[in-house]
Formats: sequence, structure tokens, C-alpha cells
Amino acid sequence: MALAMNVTIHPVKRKREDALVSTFESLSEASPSRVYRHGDLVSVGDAIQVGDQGSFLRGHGTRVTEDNAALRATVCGTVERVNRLVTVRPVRQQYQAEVGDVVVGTVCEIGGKRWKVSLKGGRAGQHAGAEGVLHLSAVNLPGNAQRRRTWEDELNMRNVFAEGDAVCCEVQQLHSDGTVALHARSAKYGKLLSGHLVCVPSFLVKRQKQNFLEVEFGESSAVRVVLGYNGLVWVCHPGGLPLQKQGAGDIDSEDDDASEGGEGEDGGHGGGVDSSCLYNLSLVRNVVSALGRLMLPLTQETISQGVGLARELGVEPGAVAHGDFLDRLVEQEAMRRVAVE
Amino acid sequence: MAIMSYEGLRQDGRRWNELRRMQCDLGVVSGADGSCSFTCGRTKIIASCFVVPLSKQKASAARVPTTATAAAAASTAPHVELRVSWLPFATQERRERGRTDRQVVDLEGMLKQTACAMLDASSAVVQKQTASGRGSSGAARGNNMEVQIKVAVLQADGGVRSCCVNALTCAIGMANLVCGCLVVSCGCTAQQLGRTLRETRMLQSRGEEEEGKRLLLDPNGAETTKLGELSLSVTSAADRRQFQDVVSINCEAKLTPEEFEEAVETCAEGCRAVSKFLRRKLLDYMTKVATISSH
Repeated sequence: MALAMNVTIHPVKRKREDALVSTFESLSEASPSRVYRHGDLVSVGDAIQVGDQGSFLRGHGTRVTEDNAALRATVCGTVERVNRLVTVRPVRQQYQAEVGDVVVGTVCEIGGKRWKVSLKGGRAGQHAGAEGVLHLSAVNLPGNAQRRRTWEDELNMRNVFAEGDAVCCEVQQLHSDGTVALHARSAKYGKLLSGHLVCVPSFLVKRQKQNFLEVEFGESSAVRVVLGYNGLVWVCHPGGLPLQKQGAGDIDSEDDDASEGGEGEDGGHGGGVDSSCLYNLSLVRNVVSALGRLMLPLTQETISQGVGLARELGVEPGAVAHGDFLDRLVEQEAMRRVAVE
Repeated sequence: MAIMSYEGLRQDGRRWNELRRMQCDLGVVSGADGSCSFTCGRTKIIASCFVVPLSKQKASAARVPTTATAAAAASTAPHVELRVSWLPFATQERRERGRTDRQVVDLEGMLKQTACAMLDASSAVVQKQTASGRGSSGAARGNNMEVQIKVAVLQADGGVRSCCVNALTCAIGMANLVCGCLVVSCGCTAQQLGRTLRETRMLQSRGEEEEGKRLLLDPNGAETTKLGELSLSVTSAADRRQFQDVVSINCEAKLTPEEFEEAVETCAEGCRAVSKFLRRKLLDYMTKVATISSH
């Protein structure tokens, strides 16, 4: 007896893959002219056409084969030519420090007149990535005195930045052995307080004019965002930024004392942080992290639009990471790209 | 049980020159710089790669024992740390494999060499310069980094070596580290067609003693346990004009010299197919990421 029966197996839902594919599809529909195809990129080992003259300059991301015949890519990315110079700009590369970059990091070691700053997020330094070195002479000491750093200052280093503190600095110099020298001499750099550190892939933070952003929240106080080019983002209450601290006069030393006890999340400026502020802060934090997860670019525009969308839809901070809102976020990004075109 | 039926099909229904179904998911480990889960038939490997700064001790330890030329040649390649964990439930009978297990040690050594070969991106020109002592001691940017790779064997069903190499390639490719080349791997084995004189005569009379039929590409677990495996790792070359450089060969099968030659060539063809597949997957991923993250 043959039973006519259709047995179907429920398709397994694969969320991660779907997110990348569906995001790609909706964004490529929105702006077909900016979609990368296989032909636009070279993979590792692909030969690069160098033109008729046969003479070329080997740039980053390329290598010449043993028989000196062909130029081959060493990373996966787009080919760029400037006159005879051929380079491959990698897609999704590791963070490569450049002089003048604003970076956010956490202090992971103190000693020998310098702080070691981890420039990549990770669980308690377990997979701490690139490191920067912040010299004692490269910071503004509390009190703004410009003088030689004495052994006393060296002993008091932990009062300025302790281990685990989030700091915001600028890349001063790249040494030939690969170490990155940082400085925090401007008033806008220094210890970051009363906020949250979010780790996103570094290639999402594009070169932009402003790294210190402000997300307005109408009636209640704004939330500040510091975009580090190394992929760490600090989302905080306005009082948590160094510049505001300077404006408040010389209560600096008091702040330091207070934050020693309170440490991190709600330390230092506990006075100004109320519940509505914390609510906004967590909303922004989750939007930034959602953008990072979707691999959408992080700029003033995308962040404020994302936050605006969440507020418009009345999405609770906890629901920002859920699929529905992520879809809406992608839709909005697609709309934005249509508008740009 | 016969490895191959008279119709020329294997136990799992493939022809002699067919690879098992491959699947490759990138970015499966959140927090890793590059990660990949590579499935080939029933063999499943997860590889992940982390880039960390090189500690002072390791840097000095790496410098001392090498001679000047070796140091110059290795200068552009970052330090590689590799761990293989073979999970107890990977094979049919449960078995804990510790750090000193023969197979794990073997795999680690082979994969580490492969990773080093891949990450050495020195141009021929640069190499010559440093060898003759004119180079700037090879202190290029990014030279002070260490690449930590973790490979987990979740399921082992033949071709574990090749799959590990392919997974490793994907993980490093996704992290987009500077590589000289990608390395892909494929296995092959040879079966004895006629076990006895009578069987051989019978096969000859049927005219089935064709060259390639003796060989089995990409053997699965049953075939590997019976016949052993020859696994070949070569540099990736998707188009036919490009040469494939041999990175490593491991032969556990009993092969005559003629068979060995044939088997290597068959593996090389298999590798071409694999490299095409991996290149497409990597480009797929990269195009998506580039499109989404473009501003």
C-alpha cells in the first residue's frame, strides 16, 4: 500500500548567515551602483594587471613573484592605482594605526614611566590586540602644570590612570618596530568616565571629521559618543568626557579620588547621572553595538538616525538587539543610501 | 565490503573523482579576528584566528636561534601559535586526546608549517635585498604581532588533515592578514582493484583497468581506515596558468611509485577545485562586507 504523503522538513533557521545575506541584499537593492561584485575585488594570490608599460611600483598589499613576472595580491581587497603605484586596499583589515588617529583603549599595564594601553577589546586582556604606549611625559598632569616629570609623578601614575581605566588618546608616532606611541596632551583626551565601552570591528569607524559625537535627547541630557578609530567606542554621560571635567575647574583631584572607589561604569560623576540618563545611555550603547553587529558604518549620521528610529518606534533598550529592530535598522540604512544617490 | 561497486560508485555514492560536499561558514566565532567552520562530508572543523601583540620574551626567543639569512627570510612572517584540540566525540568511539597525543602533535606541526608558509608574504625582491644585507632589518610594520590559531576537530570522518588546512586558510583569509598565498589541501587514495589473480583477470577481461579508476579522490572515513590516505597541500591556484607549489605531502597509503605520481596529480586537481570553492566563498564574504560597511 503506497501512501501518498508529503513529508517536509522544517527548514533550519540560520540567523547569523541570514543577517549578513539579507542585509547585503536589501542594501544592494537600495544602491545598485555601490555594490561590490567579485570582479571588483582581488583575492590573495590573484595576479594584478599592471598595464602595458610593464613598469610599476609595488605598493602595500602586493608582492612580486619569484620569477619577477607578475604582481600578486597579498590581501583581499580593492586594487588602487596612482600613476604607476599599485596597491591593494584590504577589506576588513586589522587596525593599522596612523599618526593623528583618535583612539580609545584600556590601560592594561603601568610601569617604567609609561602606561600600556590595549587598543582592542577583549575579555580582561585575554585576547588583547594591538597595544599602544602612553608615556608619562605625554599626558597633562592634574593641575595643568607644564614641568619636568619627577619621580613623584612616576609614583603617582596610578592616580592619573589606573589599570582598567578607559582612556582616549591620539596616536603620536609609529615606531619602526611596530609600537604605537600615544599622547593625551590636549584637553579633550584623558580618562573616560561614567559610560560604557563598546567593541566593534575597527573598519566600521570610517575617517571622519568628528570623533566626539553628541546624541541629542531633547528634554533630558545628551549622550556623548567617542569613536576610536581602533574600533572601541565609548558611550557616556556628558560629564564623563575630559573636556567637561576641565570646564568644571580644578576639582580634578577630587574626581580622581572619587573614581578610585567607584571605578568605571558609574564612578566619578555620580551626581549628574539619573535614571533617564542611564536609559538613554543604554539605548545608544545598544544601537552602536547593533550597528557593529550588522557591520554598518558608524558615523554621527548613522548613530543618531538609529537612535532616532528606536525612539520613534518606542523600542526599549533591551529590545534593540532583537531581529525585528535590526531589520528596521537595515531598512533605514537602505533608505539613507537611496537618498544619498 | 567492497569499497567500490562495479558500476564505479563508492559507498557514499560518489564516483572516483568526486569530492564530498563542502560547506564553509565564515565568522562563526564572535570575538575572533577570523573564524571558519569547514565541513566536508561528515568531517567538521572549526578554526579561529586571533591577532595579539608579540610579547618581549617570544620576540627575543624567536630571534636568537635563527641564523642571519633565516631571520631575514622569516622577518616578514608574524609569530604563529597554533593549538589543535581533537574533541573526544569526534570519532565513533569516544576517545580523549591530550596535548601529547601523536595525532594531535602531528597535526599541530603540519598546520603550523602551513600557516607560516601562508603568512610569509615577502616579495622575491625584498627577500634578495635582506639576504644581501641591504634591507632595513625587516622591521616592517605589523612584524611585532603574533597570530594565535585554534583548530577544533568536531567530527572526524576521513580527510581531517586536508579539512584542517582548508579551515585554517579560511580563518586567516577572513582575518585578512597579509599572506603570500593561500594553501588548500585535498586527499586521495588508491585501491587495489583485484585482490586475487582471478579478480584481476576478470577485471582485465571487462576492460576496466583504466588509469584513474584505481584512485579515489577525497576518501571518507571508511576508505581511509581501509586504504590509508595521501594528503597534499599546495598553494591555491584557481586558474590553470598559475603554478601550484607543494607545501606538504603526507602519505599513509600503500602506493607504488607510479601510483604515487598519479595520486599526487589527482590530488592537485582536487586542490584546484577546492581553491576555486574557497576563493569564491572568501570573495563572497568580502564583497558582502565591503558593500555593507561602505559609507
